[in-house]
Amino acid sequence: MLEKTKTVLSLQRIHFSYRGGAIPVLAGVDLEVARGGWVTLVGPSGCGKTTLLKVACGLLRPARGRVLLAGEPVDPRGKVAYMPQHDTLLPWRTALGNLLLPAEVEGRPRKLARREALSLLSRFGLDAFANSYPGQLSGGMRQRVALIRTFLTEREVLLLDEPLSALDALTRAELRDWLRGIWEELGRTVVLVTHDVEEAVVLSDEVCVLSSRPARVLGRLAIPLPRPRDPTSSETSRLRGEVLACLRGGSHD
Amino acid sequence: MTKGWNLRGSAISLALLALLWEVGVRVGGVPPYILPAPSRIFNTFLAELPLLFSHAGTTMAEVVLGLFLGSAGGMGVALTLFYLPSVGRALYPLILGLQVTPVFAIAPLLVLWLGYGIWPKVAVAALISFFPIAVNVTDGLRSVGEEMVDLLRTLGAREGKTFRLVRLPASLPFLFSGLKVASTLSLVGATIGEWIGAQHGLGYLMLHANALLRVDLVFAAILTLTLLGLALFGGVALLERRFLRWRKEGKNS
Repeated sequence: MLEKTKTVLSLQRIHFSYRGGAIPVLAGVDLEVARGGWVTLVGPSGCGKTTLLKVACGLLRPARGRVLLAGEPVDPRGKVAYMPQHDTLLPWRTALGNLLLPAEVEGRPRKLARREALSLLSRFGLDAFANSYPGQLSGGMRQRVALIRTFLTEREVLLLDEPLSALDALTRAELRDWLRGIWEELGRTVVLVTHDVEEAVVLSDEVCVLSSRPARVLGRLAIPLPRPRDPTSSETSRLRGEVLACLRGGSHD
Repeated sequence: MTKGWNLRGSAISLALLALLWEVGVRVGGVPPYILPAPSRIFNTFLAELPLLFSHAGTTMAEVVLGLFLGSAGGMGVALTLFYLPSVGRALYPLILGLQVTPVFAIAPLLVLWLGYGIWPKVAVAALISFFPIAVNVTDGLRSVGEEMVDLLRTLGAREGKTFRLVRLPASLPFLFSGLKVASTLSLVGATIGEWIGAQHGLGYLMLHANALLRVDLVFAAILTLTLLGLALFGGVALLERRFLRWRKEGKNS
């Protein structure tokens, strides 16, 4: 019972298909995310990871199954933060202007939101870019701004859809550390989607392996290592191997 | 647009053309009621400046009113096509039919219905400028990506807010492209409207001068029209630069 109250987001036996059942995408997926935790979803590309995130934030309604927030079955629309995969910064707004978007949509006082955004920009090393337009920023900088914006939504649960995938290897490694830092400092609950197993092992409390479409949960793997984690250590390598084995095990059927 | 301009080159080629014209007319002994020399046209332009100015005022009023009404109508149609696609589909053949029917063919009818004042010309200018606005703004509204809309929804925005915060600003560059085309077209529309029946305006002045074999005055009126067209285009370009500063600065990366 005590364990239950710690769960902030829970998906129960989620089924989903496109075109009224013609294309089944999710076949009874369960997911439990503890408050302040980090769960990463990995799976073959096109398996329905993004669909699962969209169900979790209420953009899609599951055919069967329930979404619970803090134990209550609810429509999660507007209650869970979601960062889509591709560049979603408004090109006509500066970095700071983009950070004010959540507050503007919710009608929060602008002054306060501005102060908060500026403080996060400087805390996470972006103050020099506050007045730059997205077109003037590098891919890595754009993703940092978009990630900070997601944290500024004041939602407990953040769903991040492959935020680091489009970056080059060096920037990705850099941003991975940066993202861990901001999460540790601001303390939110994260559900990350990625196809990078190393990223999953280095960042999360738990890795959830999904099968190819229609997606089921193939396995869950707790990562009980202290952070920051060394991606080349023997422990992380062993866990990476386990995740990969789990992924491969699912592709046989 | 202005980036590609080479002012010195343009001035030189223009001067060369005028020189060639001047020499050709003088050497060839072309009578001024067939083709006046540029120097004569320019002198007439200066001498008749008050007259030209007064007629230009009428034409400009028609153009600006027509452009305004045409833009309002075009944006209305774009919004209908976007938000009420079934109504839009029903209306589209009608709109397209109206567009492919030469507006000048119905101009005599407009004069019949609306009289000899400015309104038939305003109507021609509006009808001719409405289509580029409608097409461009429709494209602009459709240019907003699905993920951007998803993001706004998860922030709790309804369509009204999504429109104000995303669709409207995203459509602005498209609106300005349409306005650039429409502004030059509406000048053509107003002039032709004045040919068909008017008591004032540059088109009327041209016909009048032509009947009197004052070809120099016809050319002076054409020069005035050209200047009006440039002023209109420049005005739109200036507004564009004012409203779309991010586009210019965004390209510095």
